[in-house]
Amino acid sequence: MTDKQKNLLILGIMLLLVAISIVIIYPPSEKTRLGLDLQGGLEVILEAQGDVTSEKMEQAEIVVRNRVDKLGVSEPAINRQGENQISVGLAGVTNVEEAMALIGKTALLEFKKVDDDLTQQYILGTLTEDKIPANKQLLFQTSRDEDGELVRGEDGQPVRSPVIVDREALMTGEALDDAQIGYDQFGKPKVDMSFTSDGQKKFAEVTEKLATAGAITGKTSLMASVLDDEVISAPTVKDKINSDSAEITGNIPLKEVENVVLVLKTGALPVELTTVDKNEISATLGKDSLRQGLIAGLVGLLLVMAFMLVYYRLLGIVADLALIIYGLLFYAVLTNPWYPATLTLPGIAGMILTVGVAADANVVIFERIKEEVRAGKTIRSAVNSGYTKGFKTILDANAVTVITAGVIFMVATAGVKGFALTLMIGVVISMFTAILATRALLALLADFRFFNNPTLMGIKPPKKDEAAK
Amino acid sequence: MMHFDFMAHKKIWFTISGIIILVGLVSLATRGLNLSIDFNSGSRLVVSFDQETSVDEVRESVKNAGYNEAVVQTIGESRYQVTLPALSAEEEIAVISNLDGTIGVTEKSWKSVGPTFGEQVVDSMLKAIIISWLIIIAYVSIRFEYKYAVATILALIHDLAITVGVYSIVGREVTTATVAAVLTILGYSLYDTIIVFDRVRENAPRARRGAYAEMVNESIWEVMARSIITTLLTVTPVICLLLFGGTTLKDFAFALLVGILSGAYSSIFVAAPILCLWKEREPKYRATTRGGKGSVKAAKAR
Repeated sequence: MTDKQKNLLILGIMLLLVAISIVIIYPPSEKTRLGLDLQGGLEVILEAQGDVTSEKMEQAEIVVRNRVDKLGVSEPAINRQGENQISVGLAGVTNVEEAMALIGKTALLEFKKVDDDLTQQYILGTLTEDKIPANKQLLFQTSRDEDGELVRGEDGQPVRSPVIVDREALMTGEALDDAQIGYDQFGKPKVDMSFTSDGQKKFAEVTEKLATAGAITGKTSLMASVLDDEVISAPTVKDKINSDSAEITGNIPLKEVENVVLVLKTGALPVELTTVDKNEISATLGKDSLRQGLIAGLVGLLLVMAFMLVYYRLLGIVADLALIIYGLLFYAVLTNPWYPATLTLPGIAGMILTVGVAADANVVIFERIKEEVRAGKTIRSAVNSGYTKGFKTILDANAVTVITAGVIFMVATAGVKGFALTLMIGVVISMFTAILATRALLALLADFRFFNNPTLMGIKPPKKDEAAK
Repeated sequence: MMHFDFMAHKKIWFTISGIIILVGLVSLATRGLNLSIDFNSGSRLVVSFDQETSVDEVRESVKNAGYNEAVVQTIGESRYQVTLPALSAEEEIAVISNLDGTIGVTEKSWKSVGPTFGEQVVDSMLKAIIISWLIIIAYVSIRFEYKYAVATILALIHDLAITVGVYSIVGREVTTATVAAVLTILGYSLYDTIIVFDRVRENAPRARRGAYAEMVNESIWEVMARSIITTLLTVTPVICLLLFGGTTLKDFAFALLVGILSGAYSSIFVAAPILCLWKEREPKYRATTRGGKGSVKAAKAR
């Protein structure tokens, strides 16, 4: 293949890629996946507290997913990040308060062994709060009367009775299969729970142990059901309970029962999740950011192109063409249907920045070409040696950029990750367009006679003394 | 052709950098950084109203909701940013309903961050920087030479110190977006230094005894047009971001601007002189008589 054929082939491939890109991109407003910061919505990062296993995190993620599904948000983005975090992205969610209440609800159901001795001591005042052993925990149960009404003390505040329990839970809500509202023989509401088969086994084990311990010591064994660190009930355990169901009773008003059932139904979390980062953006603010980003990007791009044109003339046209191709390819890669990227604000900034980097590849080469022309070479051979020499420089410079971006991508947190990826993609594509495309184009142009005119390229004709050097 | 001799004035460049870094460090030690809620935990509300509203009215309303320590700032037409301590969902609702009741809210955005989140961002960033520096040292050592790698990393540290220092001096808020920007700066600065060093490497075989500095100087002048143009080209879109972008983009752009300027400066005024100082100690380049002017031409002669 002659050089000319090779260059034509490269340009042909380029044209094909551009055509594919346009098909992928068009229409842009539909194809671009906007981040929450650009279209508005709710983004929450939940973090699991205490010891977590990847199994528990997996369950927690499923629970969160179930809860989000209840909200009816289209295309929620739920991902695990790091060892103990779950990020939830809800685009265009309108009732944020409701969403937060449901997602953020810790809803950690635990069954804990009550330490009756310590509880009595605490009530009598012989044990103060700071003397409670580290493996025990002071919780409270809101007292209610027969009708489920709060019992109020003399000061009008609800009475909360202290319960001291083992810090370590006997079992958690992960053993639960389902929950329902039930009524006891007196017509009072209660929570009916059914266990998974593993849960049933565990419950039998736990109750047997408690009952045996109670029989040996002669004291009553109490087991507290604790929801979000609030004791709901603390029934006595007298026998091993080998049943696939259990209940929580204790003068709980219907509204409360409904709430408990709802959280248990949507899944009690195997670990406690707290919200560490919450981002709520209204749709207008998001659109404003997008518009501002696009304007900044467009103006920046136009200025860069204008500069290239004025400074490098004919070479500038080629460089600008390469920049346009670069922009199209880049955008097509981001919006590709198989693995689309989500455009965020930092992502836009990254894109805008790569415009400068993409133009730089041409600047390095064009300056080389100018040098060669000044040294007395013909434009044709200057283009050739300019590319050969410039390429090595650009390769090294870009390689280190890609390496840093790669490291950032691997190590950094989610928001920064997207930015690193944009940067990496941009650098790789700019290498492709700014070097391959412009080279082929310039080599073809070099065949025309008019091309051999230094002033058309913004090159001052070589001075005599320099040319002689 | 004689050019301005960058290498001969090393001390001036090092002093300039030293002073800026020192002032930055002093500011850092006394004033610290204006860390956003991303790092400190807290809640931030951006709110706009359906009628004209003054900062005082917003402040008053938030105060009535029970938050005296809230920071209220204007960020555009009838749009305000209220920074509060970390609030629970119920507390956020209380703040909003108070504003809604007194003034009438049209738009709102909340961001709230828990205390551990910022630490993770900083942790991961430091990890990213250290690992990438190690890899850069390895890459530059292989492609160039160990001494080039060290000079490159020193220039990066210089840029990092200057950016952090400037942030402390001007008291701009540091957000997670700033963190991303700083990482980019390191990438850009690196890129710029490599371009200069690449030319130095190319010209090095022509340097004679005692003429290493002159060769470096000439190399810098050979890439000068490119350095200026590229800096212009990169800074132009960044300035557009600074002018037209929203709050987040402006934050980002400011860090980039400082870093890019520092990066462009450091490749010529920090990285190259350091390399020079070191390489001149090699027997191959050690000068027997210092400052022989004739060696400039000798070095360039083919």
